[in-house]
Amino acid sequence: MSSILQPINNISDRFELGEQIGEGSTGYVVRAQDKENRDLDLALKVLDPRRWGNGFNRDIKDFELAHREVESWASLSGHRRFPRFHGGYYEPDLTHYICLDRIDGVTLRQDLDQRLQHGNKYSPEEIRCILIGISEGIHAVHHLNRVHRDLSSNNVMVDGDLNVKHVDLGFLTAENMLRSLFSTTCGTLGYTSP
Amino acid sequence: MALWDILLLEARVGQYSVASDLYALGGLWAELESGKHPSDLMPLDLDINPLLVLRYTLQDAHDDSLFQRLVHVDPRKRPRSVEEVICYLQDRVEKKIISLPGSATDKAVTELPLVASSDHSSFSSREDWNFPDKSLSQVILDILFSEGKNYLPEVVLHCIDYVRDGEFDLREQFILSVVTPMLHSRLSSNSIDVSLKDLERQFPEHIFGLTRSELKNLYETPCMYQHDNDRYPCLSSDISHSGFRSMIEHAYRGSLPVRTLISLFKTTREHSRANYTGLNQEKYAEYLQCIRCGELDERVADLEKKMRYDDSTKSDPHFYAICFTLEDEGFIFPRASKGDRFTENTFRFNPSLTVCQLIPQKNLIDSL
Repeated sequence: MSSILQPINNISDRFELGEQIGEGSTGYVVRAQDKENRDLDLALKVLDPRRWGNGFNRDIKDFELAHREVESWASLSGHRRFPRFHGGYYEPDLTHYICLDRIDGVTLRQDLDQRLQHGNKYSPEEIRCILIGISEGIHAVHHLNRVHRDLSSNNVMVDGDLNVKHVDLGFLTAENMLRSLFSTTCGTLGYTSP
Repeated sequence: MALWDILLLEARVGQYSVASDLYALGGLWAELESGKHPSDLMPLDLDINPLLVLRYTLQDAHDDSLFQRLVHVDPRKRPRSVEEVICYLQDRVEKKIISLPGSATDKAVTELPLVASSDHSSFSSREDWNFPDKSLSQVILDILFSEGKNYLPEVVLHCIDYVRDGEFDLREQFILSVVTPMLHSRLSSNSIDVSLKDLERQFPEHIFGLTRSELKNLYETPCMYQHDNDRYPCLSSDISHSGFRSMIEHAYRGSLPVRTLISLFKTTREHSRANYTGLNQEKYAEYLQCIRCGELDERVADLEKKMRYDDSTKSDPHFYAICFTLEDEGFIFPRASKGDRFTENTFRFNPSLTVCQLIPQKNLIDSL
């Protein structure tokens, strides 16, 4: 496989970084523009090594964790339930960057909250369509012999037509690695089985 | 293993599995129904299953057996796969009649089912992918000609994975890097008749960073392996197999007319040039030798193992394998020699385009 993860001295050499547009368990997400191609609306997912080892995944080698996430995005790129992957980069201090299409939408939770504010909820038909969309993404993850492990309404984005995209794969873990990760506990409270 | 042991493994020890994702999906379902975050519904206590309680809370309004199975405390009682969930949900979605704004006749089509129930049992086990009634090539042909709408998406994707596994380099097919975002763009606007003309209307100034004339030039005369990255920086040479897969998936789902898909393949085939020839004469001779000695399977496996990550060779075990397979199925591949410039024969050995090579052999393009 050609390199999907490239070293870079300073991410600003390649990208103009914009405002923060999201935050996850292993880092945060900023809007970005590729200086070599300014027509793409991008999101840079920043995997900050300073956040690693503070609980989640502390038993996994940091670099391996980041690689796995980059690989996951690359593998799922092109699937309609995931943003397109444009490349992975890492700086000398091991800060990793994953370049993805920016999704124009809100998280499922935000969309739900907006509806609730107006006294609305999803119709049964809408719920089924959303669940199908989410399931298609999960199916793609499982097809890679991995499990998502952090499915929640904050990790799924929807647009105005309720098209679903998964935007956080931070806990993707190859199922066959689980034996070595017995002490790793992750997930979002309420979504994890008892 | 006792139920309690399983629960311990799943939550306390952190052994997550497909079943855990399905439970989380149930949690999302509950959230969509109730508007409340699952953790807000019940005080979290690892000895209490909040969704188990929620299940009964919602039962009056929502008596759905799938939901109940998703949030079952025993992972063994949950659906076996997310595929089963999709199948269930899809069956419950009423068939919608959607109009196709891009089509000349504005004809209406029925939304394709995700999973054909009649096929479901045949392909329920991911470990045992097989095509019991048809050869792989025939399945691919069926899909391309829209006669295979009853195939599970997994079967379609498996075909594509088989044809072009993601571990090897066929990334120069930049036409796919144009087509894939184009498809996504069109898909999001619910317009399905992909054509350059439509794209020009949609993006009057620039299309993916290219002027109309540049894109038109690329579209009509793609040079697969020798495009100029400096001149067309947005056309990444690193196109993954998922682009190809995505195209087939779109074709399957009806969001890309099969005619367009074939046209893209055909255009690519007719206009592309490359100095990368796939199966050279030496390897072809090896292959014939394997056939004679009855060592084909062993040889392919051996080649895959040896050559998979070897960048020093232009050889690719996967197209080797697919060529072998297709040859077994009766498709004839003429020889190509090492160092050949690109010729039509090249594609005969290029797995990602083997599919399009099968089409003219069947004399079906003209009939479309």
